[in-house]
Amino acid sequence: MTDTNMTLEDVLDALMLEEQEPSYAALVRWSKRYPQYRDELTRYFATWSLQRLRAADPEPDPVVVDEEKLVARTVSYALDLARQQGRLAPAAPIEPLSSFDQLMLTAVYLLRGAGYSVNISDKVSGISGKPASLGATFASLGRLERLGLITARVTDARTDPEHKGRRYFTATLAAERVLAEAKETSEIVADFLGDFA
Amino acid sequence: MSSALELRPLTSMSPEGIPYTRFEATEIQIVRMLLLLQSAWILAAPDLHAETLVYLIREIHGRDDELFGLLAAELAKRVWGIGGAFAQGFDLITKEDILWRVEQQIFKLVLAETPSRQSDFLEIAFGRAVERRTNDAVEKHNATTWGLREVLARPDNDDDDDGDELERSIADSRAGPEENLLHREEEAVRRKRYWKMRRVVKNPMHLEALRLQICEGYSIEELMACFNATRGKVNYALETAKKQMRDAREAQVRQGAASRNGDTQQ
Repeated sequence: MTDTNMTLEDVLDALMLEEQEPSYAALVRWSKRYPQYRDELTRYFATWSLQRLRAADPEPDPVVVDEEKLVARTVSYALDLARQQGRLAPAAPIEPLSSFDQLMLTAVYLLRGAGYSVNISDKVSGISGKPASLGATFASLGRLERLGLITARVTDARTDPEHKGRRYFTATLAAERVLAEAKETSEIVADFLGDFA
Repeated sequence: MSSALELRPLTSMSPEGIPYTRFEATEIQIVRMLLLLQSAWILAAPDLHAETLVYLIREIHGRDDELFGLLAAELAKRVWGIGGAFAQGFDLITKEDILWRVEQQIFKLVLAETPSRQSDFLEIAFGRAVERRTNDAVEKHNATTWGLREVLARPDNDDDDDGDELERSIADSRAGPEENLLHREEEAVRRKRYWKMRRVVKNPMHLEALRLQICEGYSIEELMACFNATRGKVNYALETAKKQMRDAREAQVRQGAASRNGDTQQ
């Protein structure tokens, strides 16, 4: 059953997923499915066919666009949009981390996406030589996540029911920068990070 | 080991009511990337599917301006590459304008705060989404006065001859007041003609073929390419549409004559 309440934009997306080439038969088929967009579809197919034809021309397009300029403008537009949405925080300096949080971050980094609360806690204990409580581990993970230094991902219950709901942590790019600084000041962190940064 | 990460699900459905899903290869690549450090995303970016890039960009929150910028640049290059291939036959400014519109639309969807069919579609068939938006931008451009001028001034237009072409290249290309007025009049005539066609020709393909031929000066060969149809089919569409126009005109003339007779008899 076809959803007849689709917007023209949605219809065109669905059309592009289904049709590989613009053809008269396809135009008739889609016009029957969405008679309310008959005129728009006809115009779209006409443009699509013509642009496909031009794209297939073996002669290269003599008009050369400055790709770098266009890409730079787009990136700046996307960054502005992300900042307006609050998706990207203003680049404020990160307060120095406590030595325990530094160790936690090191452990998350060393486990490379496979770290969850228990094995991160074990890793920290191994690095520091002192047992780390799970409570302190959870609190530190929360702090690091809020600072944008680690991100958490949940296991898929359908494919991994045994570890349903388990959260795995990964160090972000910002964390890698913080660790590079921590390596300069902390001997333990430097020992464990080895050749890092 | 976290072998089966839970990916953010797509929330929309196809027109047939089937939930949209990413291609398996895309999902495998996304999971592989999520298990890596973010610095590795940057190194891998040039080899990633565009759909994977969309997913990863949507994952970035917080302080990672640099990562966001680098992945966005890679995605922008993909848009430029695909869009550029389909936005041909224009001057530099028009082509840049078309591609810029497409880039903006794509990034608005990538960063959409509420998922929709269109935003989900970017994680399924990114290339087709870009092609579609490029076609839209081209269609919108062609519908503008400026676009219409370009179409009519194409060198392969049957009405052009070499003399005119030469004269145009020597003369000042800026339009004077008289030319502007004539152009506006031409526009008005063209629009009036189109609306007359719309009232009379009901088959959309016939209508579009006639519009492209009369208003935009397309040749039969271009129309054949446009509709991916045979010469016979295009000729039939044009003939049928023209006959409908003639019939309508005759009916109008008869009606006019009848009303004039009525007036004289009174």
